Amino acid sequence: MVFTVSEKGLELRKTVEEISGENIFKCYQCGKCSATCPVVDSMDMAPNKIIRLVQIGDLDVLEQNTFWVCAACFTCSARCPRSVDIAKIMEGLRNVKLRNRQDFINIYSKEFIEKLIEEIPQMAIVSAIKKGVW
Amino acid sequence: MVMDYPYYPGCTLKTTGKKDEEAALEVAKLLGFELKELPTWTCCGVVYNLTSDVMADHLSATRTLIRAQEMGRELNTNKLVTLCSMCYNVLKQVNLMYKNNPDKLKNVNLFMDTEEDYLGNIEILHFLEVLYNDIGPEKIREKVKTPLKGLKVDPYYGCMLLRPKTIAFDNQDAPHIMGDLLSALGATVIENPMTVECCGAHQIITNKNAVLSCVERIVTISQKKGSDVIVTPCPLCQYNLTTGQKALLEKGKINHMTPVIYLSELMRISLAENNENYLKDYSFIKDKLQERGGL
Repeated sequence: MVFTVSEKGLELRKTVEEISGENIFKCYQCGKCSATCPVVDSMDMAPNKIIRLVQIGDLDVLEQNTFWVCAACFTCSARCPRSVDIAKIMEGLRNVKLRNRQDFINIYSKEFIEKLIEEIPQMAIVSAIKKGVW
Repeated sequence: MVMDYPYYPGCTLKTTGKKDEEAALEVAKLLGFELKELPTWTCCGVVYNLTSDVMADHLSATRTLIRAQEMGRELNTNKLVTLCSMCYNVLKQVNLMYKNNPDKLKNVNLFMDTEEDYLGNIEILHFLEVLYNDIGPEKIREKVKTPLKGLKVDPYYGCMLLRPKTIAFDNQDAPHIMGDLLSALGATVIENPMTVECCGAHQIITNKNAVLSCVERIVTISQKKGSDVIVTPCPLCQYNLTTGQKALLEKGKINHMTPVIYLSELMRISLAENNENYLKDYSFIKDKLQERGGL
């Protein structure tokens, strides 16, 4: 069977590799990242599958919540046997969305403003904004 | 000889993490040195930007490094101490990025032409490193006024002090520094395999359930191991573990709450000459110590 990747898919792969500085093909799909991820149970799709979708240029990857749920705790990056910095790839995917002005958080929404009134540490608010708003 | 250190607090240490700062400044004095706050400072950036092509996100951390450079000249040191795990992580990663890429350092200096040039030689330290490497558990043991005899303590590190590997100051998978310091205070240290697991971090804003499941795993094991108190150096871990437990208790996922306090708070109780004042805020510690003959 011949497997073809769409032009947009190729472009996505290239962009993610450029932004993250990682070689996406180093991943051999062992699944260690997914096994070790502390927030995997809140994700639509496990991290190793996300990497696979980027490898084959499947644009579906951008519709998953995985990279927004990622807390950038670096556990996957620390434990990957192929030294793929998965946290950087997640940042790459977040940036593909953000650079197309598709923010994850609406900082003007009532829901978000209410959070500011709660006693949540500023560090959490700033990191959420930095990860989810262009 | 122990010297004074330039100290960068960061936003959270002035608000929800105030207890940590108050206690740490006092602990430093009790151990014979001072943390001198930078006269002016800005946000550190909180999370290190992981992209390869964005420089603007590193500017706030760079400004902090320049402030440290200025103060370092007065105090004759190139060190900068942080109390917050995330400040430590981002400052150290940005600093390292400049060390590994002199071109980027040159660029940023050209860009920030209202500031003096950053020379790239500031050394970022976390307060724990100062306590462990510069003071040492032995010296701390000598200064203990109230041994925390019988208090079962679970040291919880979280992510930001140990990952990525390039910035870790302790063993990434089996860290021992906090445990050694707590043993020096006379406490019994519990080994929790979840000690380097993530607490869910900023997901508390957008995905509280993710945080709750992290907290549940960490706390359930800690409680099974019989800990009286969880000790952490990070203000966000402290917040997530505390509010997370409240929510879990309401849902009936756990049957009691384990107090989560800063390492500095526990150290102050143990090192202070007259700790009655402090102990009254921590009745659970007082009870345990009395119960097990520590007081």
